[in-house]
Amino acid sequence: MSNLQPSHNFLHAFCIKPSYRFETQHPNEQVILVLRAHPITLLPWIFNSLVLLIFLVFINFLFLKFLTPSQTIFANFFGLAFIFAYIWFNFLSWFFNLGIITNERIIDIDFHAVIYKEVTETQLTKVEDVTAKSSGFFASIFNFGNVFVQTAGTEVNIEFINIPKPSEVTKIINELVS
Amino acid sequence: MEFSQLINFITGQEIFSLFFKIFAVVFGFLYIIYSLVIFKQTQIMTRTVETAGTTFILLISMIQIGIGIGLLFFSLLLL
Repeated sequence: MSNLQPSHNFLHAFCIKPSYRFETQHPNEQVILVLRAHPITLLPWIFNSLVLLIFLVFINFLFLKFLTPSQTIFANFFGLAFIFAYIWFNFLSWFFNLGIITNERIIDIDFHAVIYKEVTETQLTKVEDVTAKSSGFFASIFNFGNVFVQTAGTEVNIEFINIPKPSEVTKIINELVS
Repeated sequence: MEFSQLINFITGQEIFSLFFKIFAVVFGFLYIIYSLVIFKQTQIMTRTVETAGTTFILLISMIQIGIGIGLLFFSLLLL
């Protein structure tokens, strides 16, 4: 794995040898790869935020004559605060839902709706099979997909959803395992 | 208060302003609670994974609490 050069691609969705540290990291454990969902999968909530902003401007024209100036300012302040909360919530959900591949383990960290934390990990020695799946129009164009890591016995299987370059991730995991 | 004054109050601007203020205070309060939960969770998340942008992420979550406090103060004092 020494031939991999540190890099941050796809808006930090595909980071090779980043300077990240995680809670359960062992002293000599080295982070090889950090994965997040491809930035193109963020478009729905970015689009929703823009629609909400336009809607806020639009209702200003509709309700301006019904409200006092202080009420108008408050309504706008509240609307902007709501949109900001929506953007920040979605950003945090994306930023902290990640997959980490180290020289010892594969770790999947999920924060569902920010408040529910789930950390799944498996040793590289217990990896049996790695599958990359990429289906759909956008997945083909932007090169993203899912990677499934199957483990031996009763160990939990690991899934990385909508990550960039799934075939390259599979290749890196296979090189680490062998 | 005479009956006609009461009718004017119910149908007039005052009752709307009162409801607006109650709505503003309640939602301002709820926003603070929500932003505190998000801040607490952000602390847990940044503890789980430490990145170069940890401080910046915590700062933005703190700004969100500030926005919530601003909303509550606005609704209590200026409306």
